Amino acid sequence: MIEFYDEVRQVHWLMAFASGGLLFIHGLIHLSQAGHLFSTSVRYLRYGVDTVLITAALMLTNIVQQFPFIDAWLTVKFLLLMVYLFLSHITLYNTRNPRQYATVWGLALMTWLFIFSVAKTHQSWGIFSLLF
Amino acid sequence: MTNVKKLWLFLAFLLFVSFGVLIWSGNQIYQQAPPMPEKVLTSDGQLLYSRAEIEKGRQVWQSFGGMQLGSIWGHGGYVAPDWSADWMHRELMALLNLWANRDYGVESFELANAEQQAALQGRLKSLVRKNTYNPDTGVITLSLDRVKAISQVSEHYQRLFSDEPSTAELREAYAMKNNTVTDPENRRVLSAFFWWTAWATMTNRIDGHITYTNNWPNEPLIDNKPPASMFLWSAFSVTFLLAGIGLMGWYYAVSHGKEEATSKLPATDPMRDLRPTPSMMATAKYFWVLLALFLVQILLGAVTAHYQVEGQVMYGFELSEILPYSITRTWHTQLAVLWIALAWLATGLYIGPAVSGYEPPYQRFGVNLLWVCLLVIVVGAFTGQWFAVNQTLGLEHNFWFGHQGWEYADIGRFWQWFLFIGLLLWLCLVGRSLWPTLRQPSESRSIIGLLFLSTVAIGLFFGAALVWNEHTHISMVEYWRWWLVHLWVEGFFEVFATAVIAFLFTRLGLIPVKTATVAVLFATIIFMSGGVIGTLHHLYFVGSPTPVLALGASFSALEVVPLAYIGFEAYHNYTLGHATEWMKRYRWPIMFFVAVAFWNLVGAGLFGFLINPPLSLYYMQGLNLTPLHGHTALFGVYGMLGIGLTLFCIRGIKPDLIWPEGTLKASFWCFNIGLALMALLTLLPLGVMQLFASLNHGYWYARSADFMQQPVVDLLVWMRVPGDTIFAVGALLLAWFILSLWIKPKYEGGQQRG
Repeated sequence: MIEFYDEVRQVHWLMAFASGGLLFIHGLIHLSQAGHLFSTSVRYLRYGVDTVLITAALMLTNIVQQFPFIDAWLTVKFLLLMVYLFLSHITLYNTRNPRQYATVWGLALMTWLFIFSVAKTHQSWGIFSLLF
Repeated sequence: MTNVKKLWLFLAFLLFVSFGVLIWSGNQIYQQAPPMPEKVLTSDGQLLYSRAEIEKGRQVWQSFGGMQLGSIWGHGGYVAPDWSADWMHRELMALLNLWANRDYGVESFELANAEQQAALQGRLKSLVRKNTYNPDTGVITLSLDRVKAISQVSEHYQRLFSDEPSTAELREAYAMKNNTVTDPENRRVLSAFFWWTAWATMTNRIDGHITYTNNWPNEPLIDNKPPASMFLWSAFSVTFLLAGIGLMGWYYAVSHGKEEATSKLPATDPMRDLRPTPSMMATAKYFWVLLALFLVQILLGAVTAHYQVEGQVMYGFELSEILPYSITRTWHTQLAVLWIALAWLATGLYIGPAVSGYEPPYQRFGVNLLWVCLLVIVVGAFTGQWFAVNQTLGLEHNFWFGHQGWEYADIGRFWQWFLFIGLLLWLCLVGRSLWPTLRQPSESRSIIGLLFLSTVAIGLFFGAALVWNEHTHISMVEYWRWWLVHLWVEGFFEVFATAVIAFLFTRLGLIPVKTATVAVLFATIIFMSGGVIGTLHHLYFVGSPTPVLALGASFSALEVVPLAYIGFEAYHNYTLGHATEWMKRYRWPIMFFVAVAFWNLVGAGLFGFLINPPLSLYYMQGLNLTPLHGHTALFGVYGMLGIGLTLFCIRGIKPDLIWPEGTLKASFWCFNIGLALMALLTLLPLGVMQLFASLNHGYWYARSADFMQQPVVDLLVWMRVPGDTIFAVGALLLAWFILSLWIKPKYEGGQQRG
């Protein structure tokens, strides 16, 4: 599988950006109440993107032989992914008013950004590791 | 004589003739199966293997999972090789290398020139295809050169099944745990068994010119290629299919639109006011358990699939030391049958009192007792298998309490008896609750009778698994095993599915009983006309003679005929789902029934027929095109039906609840999309790639580590993740839906109850 490392990595990055981007767009559509139909299609697109993203992530762990709960930065990434999925789910179904939605949406985006920094630096503290 | 009576008589006649032919074919296989030698001697009179050693080798093979780890004669798992084909190729290459070195002074066969290679191959073919078995003495005599080659291959296998570092990479590729067989003597006799299965694939029948396995597998080195009969019967098989479709088309053209329509649909749901009896309520726990089993089955499927890319570990964890591939695959396949069967058992128990309105004494006790028995069987049988695969049970206890190694029939004999008794108890429970209705003359007696007969057949035909014993010839075990598997899935399950769906519609008042009865009886005749003798298509290469192959090819093609028209049924069911306002209550059970029809066409019909004619199966048996059919047909048809029935019964157990339909809708589409992705992104392309390899290089290569460890194969296996994930989400949503009916029920009219 090492032969496909570059391609899988590129797909992973692409889908990571797409996931964050779609979360951002979905939130804007929701907050601006710009149309239910479009919002629904973005929601389904997000499902698809997240599924491919997770597939690529699993493939990468297998190729590079680095695993959550063995490598610290991957453990952090994995746990934050759970938080991200939880928050994303709330933004899809469980918010009661725009204010609550905006809060959860903002938290989800911040989580995504932090996951991105952990992935980029390969450090558990992500962007904050630059401070130490 | 009424139409219904005529149909019943014709069905009885058809079953009598079909089972007669099937039993005659069994006798043919028994007479002409590859002989088990008393002794295998070298040409200078030394004993190479005895019968006892070969038979003990088979017990060893069964103990570590048998068909669940690699395959024999194409039947079994797909990650490790087919041991018969692998042994044959290794033995042939060892002989060629030996001769090339001795006769031409080159290091290996590949280094000899083309002329030399052709000469050696000619010699090889005449040596190995010649049958040296003496029926009077029961002795097979082998040349000294051949014995040398066999010793080489035997050593390789003994290393492979140990923890020797030289074969570690291969073990990982085959998803085998280290020390699969712990005892060195057991490893030696295991290789004797593998040798015998390979011998049957390359040795001509006495006075014949094709091998015991009808020249299977494809092996260019010795001209193992499909015999003429295989081309002939494959062509006829397609012709029969077309003829069947034509005839059926004519029947539909003539009868379409003549069915008696229900004059007035009920204004309200006739089953709405049905008050569940205590025994009907007691079936609820069956549905909870089946959901748990279903989720565990999916998890085990994911682990089993993962072993294909990381043979012994799971994301860095050495899982094969605790749960080796052989055991995860065993449990995955067993659980598939168990949870689906549980759905049907529960439906039978629910429907009995619902139909008759009669709750026999101690019925609830019986339902609860059966449930406990089933739990004990699952836990006990699985525990025994785990000990067997870890080689801690001992060969003497394996057959009764461990792992029999026969795919779909691999629980220990003790547990098989226990399960059989459990199925008889189930029959009694269903039968006694239906008895008042069956005894009373009424219009619906026929359809209820057919439904009950299909449940009787499902129960009793498990008895086929009890026919063989520890030392029964493998060809005969295969014969009886397919009685169980094939006659269930392509015979009585089909009848049960058709009858139960039609019956439910009659109870809802959507179709007249008479119309449903005639339609179900006709469908049963059609299914059984191909289904019973069609069993033989699984037996093309297990030592069957040509007439058996011909019968299997001809009749199994007919199995596809009703599936070609299943769109009618799907559309009919879908229409009935919208027939009245109150049918919205049953929207999702009916959508699952529509999915049953869709996957019956695609999974059973298209993907089934793809591998069905003898010539196709000759090259495809045991490649990924087999699980393509297996997954889409078993889950697509019977899994979907199990879920549909579960939902239908739960609607009755909890009649006053508002269903969170969004969850169910998402679950339904996740199942269908996930299954389609699994088939189209991995199993179909990988199967087609293997088919090309099998056609071009020989069957052994399509199953070899060299082929299966290619990066592109890895990539295709990884492509299962999206489909499997979506599918698993579907199962979680279904579980959540059912759980929510109990933990946070929403009642119609908004009232909350305790």
